[in-house]
Amino acid sequence: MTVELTEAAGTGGGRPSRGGVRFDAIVVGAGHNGLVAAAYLARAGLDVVVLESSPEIGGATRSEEAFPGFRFSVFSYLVSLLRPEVIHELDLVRHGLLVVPTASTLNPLPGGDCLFREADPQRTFRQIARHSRRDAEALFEYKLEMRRMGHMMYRLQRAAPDELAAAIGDRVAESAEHLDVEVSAEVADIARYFLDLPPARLRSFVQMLTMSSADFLGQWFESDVLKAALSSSSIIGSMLSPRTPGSAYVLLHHYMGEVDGVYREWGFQKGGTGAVAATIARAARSHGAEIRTDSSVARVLARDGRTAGVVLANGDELRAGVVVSSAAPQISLGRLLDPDDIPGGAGAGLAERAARWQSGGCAGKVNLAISGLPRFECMPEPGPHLSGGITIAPGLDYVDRAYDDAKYGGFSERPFIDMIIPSVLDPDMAPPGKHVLSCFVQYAPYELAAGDWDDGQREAFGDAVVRTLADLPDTVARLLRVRFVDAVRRRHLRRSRAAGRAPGAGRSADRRHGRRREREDAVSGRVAIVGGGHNGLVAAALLARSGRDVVLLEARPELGGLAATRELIPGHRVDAGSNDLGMFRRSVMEELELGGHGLELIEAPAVAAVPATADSSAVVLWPEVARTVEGLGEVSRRDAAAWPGFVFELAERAAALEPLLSRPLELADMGRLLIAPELLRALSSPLEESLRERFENPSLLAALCGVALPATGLGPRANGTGWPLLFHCALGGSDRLAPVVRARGGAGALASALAASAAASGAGIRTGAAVSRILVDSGRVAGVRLADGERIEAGAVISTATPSVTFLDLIGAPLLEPRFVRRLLNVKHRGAAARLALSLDGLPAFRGLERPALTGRIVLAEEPDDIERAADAAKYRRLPARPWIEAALPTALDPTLAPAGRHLLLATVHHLPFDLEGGWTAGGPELLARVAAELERWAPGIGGLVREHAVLLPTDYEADYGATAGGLHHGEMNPSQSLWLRPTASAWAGEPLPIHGLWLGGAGCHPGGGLTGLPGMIAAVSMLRG
Amino acid sequence: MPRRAPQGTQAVQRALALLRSFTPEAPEHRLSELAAAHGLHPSTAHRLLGVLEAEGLIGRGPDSQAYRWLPGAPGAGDAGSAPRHNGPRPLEPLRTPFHRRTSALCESDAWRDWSGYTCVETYEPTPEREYWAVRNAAALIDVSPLFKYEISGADAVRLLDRMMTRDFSKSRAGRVMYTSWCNEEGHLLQDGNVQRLARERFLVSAAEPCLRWFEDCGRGMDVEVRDVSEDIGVLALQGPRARAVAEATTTGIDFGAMRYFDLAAGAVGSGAGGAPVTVTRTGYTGDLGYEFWVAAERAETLWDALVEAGRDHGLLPAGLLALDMVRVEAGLVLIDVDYVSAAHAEIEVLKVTPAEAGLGFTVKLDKQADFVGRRALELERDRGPAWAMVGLEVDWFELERLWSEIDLRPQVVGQPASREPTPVFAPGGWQVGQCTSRFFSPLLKKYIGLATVHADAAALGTELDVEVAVGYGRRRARARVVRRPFFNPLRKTMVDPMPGVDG
Repeated sequence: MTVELTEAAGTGGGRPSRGGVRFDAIVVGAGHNGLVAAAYLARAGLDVVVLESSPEIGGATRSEEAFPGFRFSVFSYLVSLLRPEVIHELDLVRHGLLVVPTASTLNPLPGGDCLFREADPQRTFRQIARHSRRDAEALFEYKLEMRRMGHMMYRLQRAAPDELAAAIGDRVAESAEHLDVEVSAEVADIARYFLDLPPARLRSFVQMLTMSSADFLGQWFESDVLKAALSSSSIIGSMLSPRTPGSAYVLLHHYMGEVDGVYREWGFQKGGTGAVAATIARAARSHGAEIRTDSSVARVLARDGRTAGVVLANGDELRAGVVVSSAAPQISLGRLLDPDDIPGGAGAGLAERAARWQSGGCAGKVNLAISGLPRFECMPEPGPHLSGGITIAPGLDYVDRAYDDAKYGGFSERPFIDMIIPSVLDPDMAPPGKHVLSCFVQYAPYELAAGDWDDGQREAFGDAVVRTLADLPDTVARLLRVRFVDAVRRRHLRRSRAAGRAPGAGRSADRRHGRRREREDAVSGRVAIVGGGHNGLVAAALLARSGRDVVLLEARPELGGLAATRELIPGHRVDAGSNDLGMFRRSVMEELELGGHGLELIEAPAVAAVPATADSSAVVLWPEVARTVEGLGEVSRRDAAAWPGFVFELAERAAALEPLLSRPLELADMGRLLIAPELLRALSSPLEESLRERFENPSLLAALCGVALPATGLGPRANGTGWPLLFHCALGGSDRLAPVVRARGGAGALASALAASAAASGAGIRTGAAVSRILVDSGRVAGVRLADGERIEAGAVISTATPSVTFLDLIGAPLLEPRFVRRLLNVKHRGAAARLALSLDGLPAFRGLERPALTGRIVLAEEPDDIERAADAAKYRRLPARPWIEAALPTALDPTLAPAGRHLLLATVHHLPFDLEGGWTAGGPELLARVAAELERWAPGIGGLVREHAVLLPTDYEADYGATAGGLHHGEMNPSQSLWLRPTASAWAGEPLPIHGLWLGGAGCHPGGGLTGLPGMIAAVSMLRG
Repeated sequence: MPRRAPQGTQAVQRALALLRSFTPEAPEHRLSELAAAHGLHPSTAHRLLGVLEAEGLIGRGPDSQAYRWLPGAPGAGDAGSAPRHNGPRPLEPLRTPFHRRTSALCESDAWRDWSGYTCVETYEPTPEREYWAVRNAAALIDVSPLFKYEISGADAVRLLDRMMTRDFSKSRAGRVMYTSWCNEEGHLLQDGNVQRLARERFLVSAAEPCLRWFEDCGRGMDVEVRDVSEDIGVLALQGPRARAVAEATTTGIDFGAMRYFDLAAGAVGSGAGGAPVTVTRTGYTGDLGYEFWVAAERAETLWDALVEAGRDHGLLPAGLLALDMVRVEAGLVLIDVDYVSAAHAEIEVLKVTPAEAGLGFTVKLDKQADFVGRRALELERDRGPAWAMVGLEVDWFELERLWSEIDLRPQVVGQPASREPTPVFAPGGWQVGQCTSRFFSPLLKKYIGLATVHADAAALGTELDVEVAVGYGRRRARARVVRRPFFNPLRKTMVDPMPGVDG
């Protein structure tokens, strides 16, 4: 079959324009989607015209002959996602569709090694086994899971998101009435399909939507080489790294490509992807559609809420009752539509939403004409590998570094490259013996920090590609011509928006409970509580108050766990971890009469402050909106004006979220979230990006990021970082923005009051009692054994240790199902922290901050990227060059914490790697030196005030407080480990915990870390309810 | 067996000389250089090198004029060391340690992929003689592609008891246990044999890889799981004469005392040249037989000894087609043919429990240990399995009746066992299951098959319809549920087995 390329490039395909001005339907844009729409409409008998602004059809599916005899696919270069129904209904094979499979993927590696995956599963098995035998075996399981998820997504894609949300909300949350959406029978069926899935499967699907591909792949694989190879599909066309949450969804998106029903098949259209457009155009014309090129649409005409036609750039008007726009949303809804044409005043909101649509480019295409086939050191001979994909992605760090370059506005110095050699697949692409090499290159940001994409930048970008390819020396030697295609393509999959399309809840909670094992009888007898942190104490006090026989066992000499106060510096009361009671449940304080047991709260006048530096201004956030606005007015009028609306909206969303945080979540709650798409968007977006929609001042942005991101592993540019800010606000009381509240005498005073309350109700509380084993008999808790051998009988145990410690150390993997153990091992504990406590001779001089401003959080970061760069360093197991610091001056509120005349400064460094390269023994002093330098920069002269200091490193947090991998939240609080994806007191992933009589009550379970008291409360309440 | 007479020894000598030029020290040679060094015409050298390359003994260099030493290729400059088969180069074919021997005898050039290994399908153009050798004399079958895992350590028994459905607290050193293993839902993952080599050392053989599963099940235990798949060659010596051949070959083993599923250690060959072997009285043929487990580098010693001893007993090497026929007669199920491993099933309905795959006898719910899948299997015990694996047979008269309709005698003999699943119906009615392995047994003179059917259609004697090909048509033949194995000779299990005895 020959495919006429010229036809694709031509304007009218031989059929002259009829020059008409009245049509049934107008399609804007002759990319493949516009053409498909036109073909369907014409097939249905409508009179259709397609209007394309450029001289050629095809959009991103275009071929060109850049040099005589050498043909290139300009942008997209492989076919797979083209739906079979489109192929068959439009009869595309008859119109020229010919897709040759690219059956293999070669990943060349440094040192002449490689990973070669081909169609034959046995050979692929052996290839992977060279890197990891386990991974070779896991590949099948992974593919099976991907096929299942792909099939779920395939169904999802057939339903409009709002309609599906309504269908699911209707069934599980009974709260969809206000959604004025009609649900079709087909969508109702799709909703039912999801609701009837086993809960564990539904949850893994939702979790996948929120995960990074590196974490997702890490569930099966250990080999960096294989993870990097597989993760290629998770970044193609997206401004994401494999370590960015949301990239797992992109991975699935590309896995879902199919050829004739087989997932994960990709192929090359003969003649390049321009031939795909030509094929569809032929199909459209065969049904009578007209295609006009060089016809730029300036505006869509609308009257009384209906489209009436379009106005072209040359002023011509074409009339039609239907306009289909295949342009990007921000163009279709923002530029082509006049907001005033939309009735009811909805136009402005629509335009605003369209403007927020993220679609910056991320990739470039470099096409090479070469005199012969490239040779790879690992596979020097010509062979089948040359007709497959060839990917330069030798490791996750490599790809992540390429991403980091682009994140800050440069192109990747060592880019990720996805190559094919079209001329091997289709000899018509190049003269005999010569070849074309298509390189899809990431990352290249749409907007360069260094300026425009001028010739110099393009040249430099091309050089970076050639430098990378220089590892393939023959290729460079054979280089004839380089053709840079208009470097940057629009990014279309920026983020896992799919969270908004997530399926809803499962079957009704009642039915679910029917499947659970009976638990009521498990609560008889004594309850042993492992761990005397604030959660354990809350559980002990609540249970004792309800008349239960409770014994609490704490390994350390003092109570409080990560919220203990210790005399780390003689004469000073130093909080080891959290000391902010702003999120602590007030109803629990009251019920346990903590005031009566000695707890005295002090609310700080300030929420958060960023001092000034030579380059940046000071910003203070106060609980009072007006006071904040007044201060902000001095740095940015725009930000000051935006602040009240921001606080109001945040409070509204926080209030919607709050009810979900104080009880175990049911699947119905998923439905409730689904019908709140704006809330979902806020949860899943990059924090910095959402904030920049309103604010511009770097200090203000840094302050908000500094409130949200402590103890997380993610930088503010990562998807999903909206969640921690909402979490803080939801639990901080929805009337104010995350207030800082301290206990007089230090956080330990909370533990003391809780202990006193518990003891008053008869609970036994023992310190210095380290639990070494939770005793299990026939799948049922029998008690605990202490490190000194003492055995304590108990009918039930609440463990506030991390789930990993609870199950793997205290119970032991041999008593658990392998899949449960795998799930435990997959919990991420990123976001380690270190704390430096300084005893100072006086208040440090933070520039631009008055004393009241020093009472809240003091965020030492000039801009969000200071936090981002710290998170970057942690990815590569390094210390941040300039650590960002969350500082506090507890003595500014409570002078009793230090001897008279002294002040206590707690400097907490977040976003540290637990597995620091070189180890913490060497790294600790180095970190201290960097922290000291930073403090000096922010508060000149502070060094001279320091009298004494104490340090807690990530390794100390693990060794002293059982914080697995030094993570203060018992499991990173990213969206993939939050809400219904986090263990609850008695269940995980929709399945009851595997040991009868065991409850989880620590920060590792819902709702998560922080001084909230909620995990302990939920454990106690669910135990009492049985 | 017929051997082709050698065409002349000169070519062989030249080829061997060329082969020896390739050593780790001098791995690469150009054609012209080799031709000169060996006094050969370049075209002769090219032809001989081409054969060596085609046989996987040498490779090609980056320059097409150069040939290179293959690490692990047998016979090259490192002759005598292990004939290793899993080199780092991407496209090198995978070979069993017996490959040089089996390929020399494979006259049919009929090969089949088995777990990535190139294996002989039939040595002769048709499998008939190989099939009859199993039932009438003795056959030698290379089953090295089985995956093998050594499990050792203080918790070895604990791990096996946790993974496997059989009771390993009752296993003893010197015995082999056939067992199933399941996932958490009680769905069958695999079946395989477990040899207890010593108190704390076991060898598991399995059809599919399972290192990851074993390691994950053993987390937190004092146990080591080692993949020794490529370190061990396995030969199955099967047939009524197997004992005689084994005895003539092996020292240190009392075959008279060896019971079914015993294992013993001995040596093949004598003195310092003897190769240590482990012999198990096991097999996949349902006949008297032994499996020999040998270090890969001594594999050829074992093969040569057995072939030599077998000459007087009618021993033939047998390929996979013959093996597949006799295993159906033996009623032995094959993973991913007769049942789908839960690890491979994309949808739930394809998964089965051991009982549903005919392996209920391997599930010991009375054992102490809480093994993976136990809870689900206890539930199944209470409500009964939904499916059953049955033996079906179609008798001769039914076959005659069907073929007479198109005016032919039954044309059923000489066809290898089919693995294409076909529907099984209630007589004249709905589909009740599928027949997954079947063929006409020349030994039993009946058409037999293994089928999975609804439990209520599984009683012995139940009449069912199976689909058989009659000419171009597909006809329903009346079949009966019969006892498995279809063929079960006394000699298979008897102590001190005698050649003349059969079932």
